[in-house]
Amino acid sequence: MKREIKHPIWMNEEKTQVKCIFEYEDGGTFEAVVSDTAEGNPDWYEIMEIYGVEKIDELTQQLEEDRKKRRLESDQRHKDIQEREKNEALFACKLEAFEIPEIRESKNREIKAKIRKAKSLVEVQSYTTILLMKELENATA
Amino acid sequence: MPQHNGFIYAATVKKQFLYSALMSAMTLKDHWPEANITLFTHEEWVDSQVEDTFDTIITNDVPHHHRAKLWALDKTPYDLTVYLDADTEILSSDISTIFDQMTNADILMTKIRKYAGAFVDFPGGKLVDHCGMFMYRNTPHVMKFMSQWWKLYQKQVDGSWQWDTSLYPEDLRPWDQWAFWWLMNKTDYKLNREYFKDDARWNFVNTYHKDETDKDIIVYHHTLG
Repeated sequence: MKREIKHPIWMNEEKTQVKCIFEYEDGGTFEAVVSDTAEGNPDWYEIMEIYGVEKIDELTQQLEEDRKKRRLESDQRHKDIQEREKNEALFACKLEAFEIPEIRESKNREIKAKIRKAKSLVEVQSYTTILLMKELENATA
Repeated sequence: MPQHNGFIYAATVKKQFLYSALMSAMTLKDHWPEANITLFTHEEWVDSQVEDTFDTIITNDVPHHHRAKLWALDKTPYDLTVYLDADTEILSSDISTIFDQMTNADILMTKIRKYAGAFVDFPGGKLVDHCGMFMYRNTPHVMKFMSQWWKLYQKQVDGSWQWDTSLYPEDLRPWDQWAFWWLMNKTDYKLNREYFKDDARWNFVNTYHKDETDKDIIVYHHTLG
């Protein structure tokens, strides 16, 4: 059955192994690792004739760059998701603080603003505690 | 009679929406103390904090409905109105330039991002407009649209409005964007709609990619559970 050899890349630094895809005319594909043999491997010579060392260098480098780019994008997305989850937890924590009647009804604008503008859960909880203590003190004074 | 520009929030049904609207309005005042803000809510929820935060509080006839925002839109006291979902947070003093962004359009909006998990494509069309933050004019035509939006949405959710589900899937039923899309695309009520420049700054939904804008985010949109 007729087939084409596609997407060759080096598998080792010595450039003695090539990974490629054999695409058959019936639509089937097969991933192969090809190297030369003592008897002479016709697949290896076919790859070298069609692509040559320079083209395989180029395809290998391109694949590496694509992989690196995808890895960086994936890392960035992962960081974005973590940051989003952190932001949403912080937002939920601030809402919960403002659900406490003593906090919501407090006239202490300064500490309420600090709760609102807090950048971490610890900050929200600390200012909420401080304000609650002040309000309880005021109530018993 | 409307005399100035301002922001409106609607907080009904769940108390959580009131707390969230309160916090959003406070972040708005943090960055723009002169902003005019109106709240539509239930009478029994109005306390000193609500009175201190909002310039106008409307409670008369506010429906106990999860989309009371649609009821509120044509009752705005402002010439130019910015509607903000309760789960928004204002992050920049550039919010004070929002009314300068208005073009000759009836309504200025931001676009939904498909990657951000939104239900966008269906055989009969595509939802493009984000209905959680927008600015609109107080003209008879726009007010008529807003009132129709509320009426149509009620029929949408009570099931009395049925549509060709081969073109418009039944999954659209809960979304107020769907009634908006229908009015904009299938009726004479349609508005002249344009979009904010660099629209992600003006309505940065929490699932958006950071590279949507290289400037400061002005309105950050959380997701209230």
